[in-house]
Amino acid sequence: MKKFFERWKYRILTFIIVAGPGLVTAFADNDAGGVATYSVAAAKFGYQILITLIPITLVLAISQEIGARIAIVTGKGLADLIREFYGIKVAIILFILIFIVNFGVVLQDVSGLKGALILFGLDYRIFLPLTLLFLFLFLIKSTYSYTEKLFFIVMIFYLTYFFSAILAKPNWSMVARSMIVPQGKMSFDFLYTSIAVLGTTVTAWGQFIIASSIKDKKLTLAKIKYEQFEVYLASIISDVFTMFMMVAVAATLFSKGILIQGAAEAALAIKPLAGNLAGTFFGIGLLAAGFLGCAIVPLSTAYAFSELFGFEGSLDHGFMKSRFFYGFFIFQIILASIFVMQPKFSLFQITLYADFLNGFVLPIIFYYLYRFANDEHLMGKYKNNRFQNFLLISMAVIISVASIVGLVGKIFFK
Amino acid sequence: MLYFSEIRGKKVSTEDGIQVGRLDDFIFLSSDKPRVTKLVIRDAKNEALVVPIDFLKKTNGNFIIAKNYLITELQENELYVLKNLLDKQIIDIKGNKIVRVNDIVFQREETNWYIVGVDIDLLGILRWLGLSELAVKFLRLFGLPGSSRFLSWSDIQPVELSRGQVKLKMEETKLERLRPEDLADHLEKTNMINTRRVLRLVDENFAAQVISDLNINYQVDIIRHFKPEKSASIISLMDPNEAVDILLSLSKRRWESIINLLPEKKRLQLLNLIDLSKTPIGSLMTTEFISVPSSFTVRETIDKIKKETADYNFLDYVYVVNEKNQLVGVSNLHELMLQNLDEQVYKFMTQNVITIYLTTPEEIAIKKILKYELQALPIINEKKNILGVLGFDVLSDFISKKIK
Repeated sequence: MKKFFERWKYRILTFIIVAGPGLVTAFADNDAGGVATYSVAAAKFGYQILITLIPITLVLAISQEIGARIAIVTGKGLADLIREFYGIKVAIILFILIFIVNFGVVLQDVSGLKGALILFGLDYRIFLPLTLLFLFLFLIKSTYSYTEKLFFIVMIFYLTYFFSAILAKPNWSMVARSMIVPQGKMSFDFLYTSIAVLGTTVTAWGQFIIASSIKDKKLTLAKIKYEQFEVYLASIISDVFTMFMMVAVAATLFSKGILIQGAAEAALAIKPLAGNLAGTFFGIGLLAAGFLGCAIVPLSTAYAFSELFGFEGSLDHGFMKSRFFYGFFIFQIILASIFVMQPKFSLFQITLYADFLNGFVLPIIFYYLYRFANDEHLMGKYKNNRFQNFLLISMAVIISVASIVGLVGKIFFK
Repeated sequence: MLYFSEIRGKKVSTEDGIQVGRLDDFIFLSSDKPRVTKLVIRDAKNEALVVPIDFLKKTNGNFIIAKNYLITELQENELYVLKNLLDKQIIDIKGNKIVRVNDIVFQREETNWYIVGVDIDLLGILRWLGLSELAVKFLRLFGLPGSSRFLSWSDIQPVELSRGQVKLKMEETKLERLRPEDLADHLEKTNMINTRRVLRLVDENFAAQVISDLNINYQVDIIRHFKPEKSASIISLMDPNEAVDILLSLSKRRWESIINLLPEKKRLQLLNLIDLSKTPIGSLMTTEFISVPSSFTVRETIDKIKKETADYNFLDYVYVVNEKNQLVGVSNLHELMLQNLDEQVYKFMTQNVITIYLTTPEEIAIKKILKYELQALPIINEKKNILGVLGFDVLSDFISKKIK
């Protein structure tokens, strides 16, 4: 009995040490852009949108596990591998694509942060630059491990979504049913929105950041089981929070027929319906989500950038040693801030569009995951099994078809 | 000088015009001076054929191989350019990441191809995207040289390549980022430093042979670094003409101390050669020569020739200099005419230039002209700046004097 306890103590401690890349990536999938998309979708379709959650969790868990496994086995980031195996042309084209898609998300996150600051009566012209400056200096000065701890602290604030959902007094049995049995009518708009919800949860940048942070954390093959477990667990936990966000909005705004254009607006609109506290909780959550997103998403592009060109790029380094890495990070933040600082800047067009683009790029990223995960020479005994391949391919096909149908439908049959 | 990006994908056919496929990759022997041994050709069915480079006949535009070519296999110690070198991460000796291998530079020496360096510049990437010409034009608009920065092969540890990494012999801060025109010279210099280390150990016969293969600058440098006894024994094994050329570029005290250590017969032979010619080269040379920066295009070079050489008696060569105004290459006018007008001269110049010093005796200069079949021979100082040239007319004057 004692032995049994000892063994579990060891396992749990190891898990705590290993945990990080999976959880941070999964929670960052619920970034400010994510909150915005979930809010808009839930306000428009109510509980009907909950049907997307279980499939999305599955896609997230499977794809992130493959990405994490490749990173642990090869010790390389995704951009490293693409450059080395597919050459500079493919790498550059993919990088430009990823940069555009990610920049859309950075815009969402910086503007989500701005919205959250306004919500709490803070002047964004002062506090937005200050927050971003703090973030940048912290990333430069701290190591990977301290940065990860900061992210964990930020993640605790996601709990506010849980309270927000409780206060909205939803019909929980309806919530449970909607997650399993499809409700309402199918429409092109619903398909398009579903792809956007998928695109904000399962992201292209998520694949880059999980691989690069595993590399930066220097996780070794001995810990692969723990990392796989973390990725599965993180996918489920983060999507449970997604559910709370959707429920909080669906139970209030949808039932009253209020359409919104962003997350901050959702927080405001919730207040008269479910009480000030519910709205405030939603706002705190948005603040945390914006902060996490502003860190993680530009970091993923910066990792990809330094891997692509072979520059040093690690959170463990000071500014000079990884100057291209940090430089590219701050470049994105400043560029996004220039847009967002415009008082009249509206994000509504970008929100769904950026997520949709993300969903569109995913099958391409899945293709490379498929190639690397099945490379005998690269992966050895850790290569994909048939079931994983079947899931990966069918996910890519379904997402591609849904993306195209959704887009065509959105354009022609509005 | 050839870039891998410019060669890869070229059509390969046999001498009698039968299409074989496209050039996909090179195979090279991983060593201090990596020689390309095999071509990898992808045929129409996308299958890879490995053909020894000995079958390669011509490379003007497309690749032409002998019609009776054979197919072979990879051997031990051989690596692929594409799989083992291109796009790989370059790390310094401490493991710091520097950049990736953006392109690879080959140098042809007669029928052999060698890897001389790797391109680490953004231009190396643009070359793959077909944008480098545009970028070069743009850079030159602002007066920038428009050529890539390279790492010389001599800075790379060949042993590490087979372990999948491009590792350097030094720290990043000590790294020299070279211009293409200086690559060959840098290789020779490091080669010389290695040679000097090796020469202390190996037998003198071999040392003499190695030294006589080097450029005169480095020959002088080596002899200068050895003790007179060692220098004397190496000098005694060298070709007397070359020996005199080296000796005379040293100070009088030094060459006399070396020559006094030589065996009687050799000493007299060399002294005789030295005495033979008292005519200083300076009085024979002409300053009617033209030099251009290595980043010049053919068009710019021709413009310069038109502008500056109208009143010259003759012109056979264009000399190429680097940023420090050192002689780094040469091209004859025929070669120049054959090139595309926008090609930069460093791409096609001959890097191994035959040169002499002001101290070189006339006889030896003339022997060099004859031996290498040159129309003109450049005279340089110890900083490698060109001072002037000896024209072919020196040779005809010399012969007519002898005949009289």
